[in-house]
Amino acid sequence: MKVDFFKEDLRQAAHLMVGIVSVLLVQYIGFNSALLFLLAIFIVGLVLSNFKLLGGKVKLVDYLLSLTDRNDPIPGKGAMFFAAGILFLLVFAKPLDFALAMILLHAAGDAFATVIGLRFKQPLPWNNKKSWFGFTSFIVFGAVAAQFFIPLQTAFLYAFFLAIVESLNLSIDDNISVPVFALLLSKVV
Amino acid sequence: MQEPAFIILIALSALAIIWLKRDKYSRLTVVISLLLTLVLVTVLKQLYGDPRPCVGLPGCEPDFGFPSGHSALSFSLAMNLFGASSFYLAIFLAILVALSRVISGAHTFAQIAGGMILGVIVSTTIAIVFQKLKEKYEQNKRAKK
Repeated sequence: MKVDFFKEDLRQAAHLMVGIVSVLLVQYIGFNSALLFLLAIFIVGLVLSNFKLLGGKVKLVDYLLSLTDRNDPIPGKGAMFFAAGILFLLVFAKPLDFALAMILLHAAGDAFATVIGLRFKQPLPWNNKKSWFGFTSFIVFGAVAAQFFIPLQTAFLYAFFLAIVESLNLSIDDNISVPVFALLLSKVV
Repeated sequence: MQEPAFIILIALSALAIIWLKRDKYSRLTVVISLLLTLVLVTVLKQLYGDPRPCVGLPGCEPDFGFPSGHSALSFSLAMNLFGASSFYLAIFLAILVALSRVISGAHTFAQIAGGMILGVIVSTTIAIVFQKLKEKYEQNKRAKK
């Protein structure tokens, strides 16, 4: 399958920005206000996705989807799952610093893993759709992003295990499996 | 809304959705997602042990408050209608149920947010897993023929 690098880079830039903006919102307007704001956007997103699925047209949404969407049967599926993952971490992961660290880890790790992994292909033995470069990028960039809120060694430990989860070929979307596993891992660690 | 009335309402809505769904996989998705949401809410309430804001006041439910079962079940049910025009009404009602829990003092905002996200994630994940199972089953069936 031919990869549209421009579209994919734009998509990953948006992925990274959403993660950073979510963290900044929590930092600057407070937990409850940020949660309310993000939930409202998420629900509006769900409604718009349903509207598009039923054949509706919204010019701005169509334009944004044409720039970044992977032509999933469900419009904006990736963005919806990523937002759900962020909200999941915000409400379920405790303390808040850990939740923010995991949001940044996932946003940066996943974005750089895709951008780098698509360009330098050397398949992983357990999943030939993912590359060693992508796997390593997830760990390095994810850990560097997460160390703003948790110690660097802990960040690397989480990044390593979450990179493994991200690289697995699961039925569940990685925007959900990574946050859920991060939470489970925090209970073990 | 009181507990028994809410459970009856959810059960009736679930039955209506099951009746509306065309194939057995979609019907099973509704049942499994609601049951799994219920189980997870019960387990997570015990794990987090987060008290309700009304604790100590008369009429306050005795269990923990995080995540909100009412909002989890409402959103789980609403997500089962994703892709249909009735989704708009379902999501509107789910928001009303969640907000009513905050206004009545039974939950904090974070507690209903937890329920909302749990309901959405469980329903969509179950729907995707069942869709993949359905595709696999149909592929095998075609291969046998």
